Amino acid sequence: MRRGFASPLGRLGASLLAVLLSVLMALPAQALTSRNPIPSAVRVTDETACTGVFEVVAQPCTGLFCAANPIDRSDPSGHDGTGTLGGTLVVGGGMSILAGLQLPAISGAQVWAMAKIGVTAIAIAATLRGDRSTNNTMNVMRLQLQEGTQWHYWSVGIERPANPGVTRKDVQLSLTAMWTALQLLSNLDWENDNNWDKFDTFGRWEKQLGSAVIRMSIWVGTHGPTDGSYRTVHQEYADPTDETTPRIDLENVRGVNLSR
Amino acid sequence: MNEETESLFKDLKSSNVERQMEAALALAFLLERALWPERYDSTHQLVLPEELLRLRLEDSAALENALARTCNALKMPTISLGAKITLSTVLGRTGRATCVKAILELLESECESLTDEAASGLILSIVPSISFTYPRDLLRSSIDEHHTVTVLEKLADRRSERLNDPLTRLQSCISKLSKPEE
Repeated sequence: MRRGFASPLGRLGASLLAVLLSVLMALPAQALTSRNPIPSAVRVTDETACTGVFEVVAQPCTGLFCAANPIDRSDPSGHDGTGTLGGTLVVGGGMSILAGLQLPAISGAQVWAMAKIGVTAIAIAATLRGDRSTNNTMNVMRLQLQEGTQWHYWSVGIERPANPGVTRKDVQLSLTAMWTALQLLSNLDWENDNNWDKFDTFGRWEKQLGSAVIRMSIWVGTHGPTDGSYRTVHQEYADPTDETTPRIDLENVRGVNLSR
Repeated sequence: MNEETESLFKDLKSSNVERQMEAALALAFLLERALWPERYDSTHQLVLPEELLRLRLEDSAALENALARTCNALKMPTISLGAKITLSTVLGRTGRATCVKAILELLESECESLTDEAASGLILSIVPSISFTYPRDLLRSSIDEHHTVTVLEKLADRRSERLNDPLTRLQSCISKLSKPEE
């Protein structure tokens, strides 16, 4: 039977990595290597300890690496990039969360080491949380990886204050996080349940999905603003000629976004 | 249907457009959670207040009733176009021809007034699921009844860069639909 991240273990893995990546992205580099307090920019909801629910509060996008190509950090547009780093993920002020690790070769032990850092970060962040950020003054977009009407592999909300709203760079960064998380998941061995290569459709589409991530990132860099209602803004399919293949959906959930 | 859900449908008809939009978004997410209960989605936590996060449609009858009322809402002149597009975003993904029919009817009736951005949203709500929408006979007859091919041609005449890709996709999907199934 075909499996997806929607399976229970898959959800767990996706949740954990989403939390991990989001926390890591919101942290200054030194937070990863020391016991420095984590800024209150990271808020966690009450359910966090059990379910991995998280909220990352908006931060200025200054210094983020937001090149048009989130896969290998090359930047065909020639804007914003800091150079190609050959498979190393860079987010947040030049911080490399996977410095030195070639993604395809990352080991389970390395992933777990990162996960431990992430769990510690979440625990600290939970003690610093403020009020829930849920309110109708925040702008929200959603990035999803889906297939057909039933298969749902990845979903993450991007929340920003109404001014400036969710920016193009925010979405590009979220694409980077999604792709990296999927790559990490592909290297995890969740009781042999969720290895990327075991998805008989998903593994088959890995390369094409990488291209779809790049196409989406380029599209986002050249389009906007959205209008205020909940709607699908753009879709990129693994096979651009076949709407039944896995796809990345970018949705406007609330407010005017992609203004800049 | 429970009181809170009734309240959302009431707010959907409010004269205040902002209230309509919030109700439409809450209803869309409520339907999403009922249609795919196994999915975890952090966006729901970002958008919905606590009382709505706890809200559930009681059973499949409540879900069917909510879907029917949501489809019906797309025909109501007092509901804003933005709220209708919000509701269409979830209706299009249901794989139910009755829901897609409501969207095609909206597309036909609002064709002239839709901005390129709004038209694109409506079309993209249908495209990914149209190959998985049933019953096929109802889907095909709805496309005929609401002159979808002609409506799409009219939109194509705008020669909008924003509309080009979604339009081409939906036209291609409809073309495949008309071929005999293997």
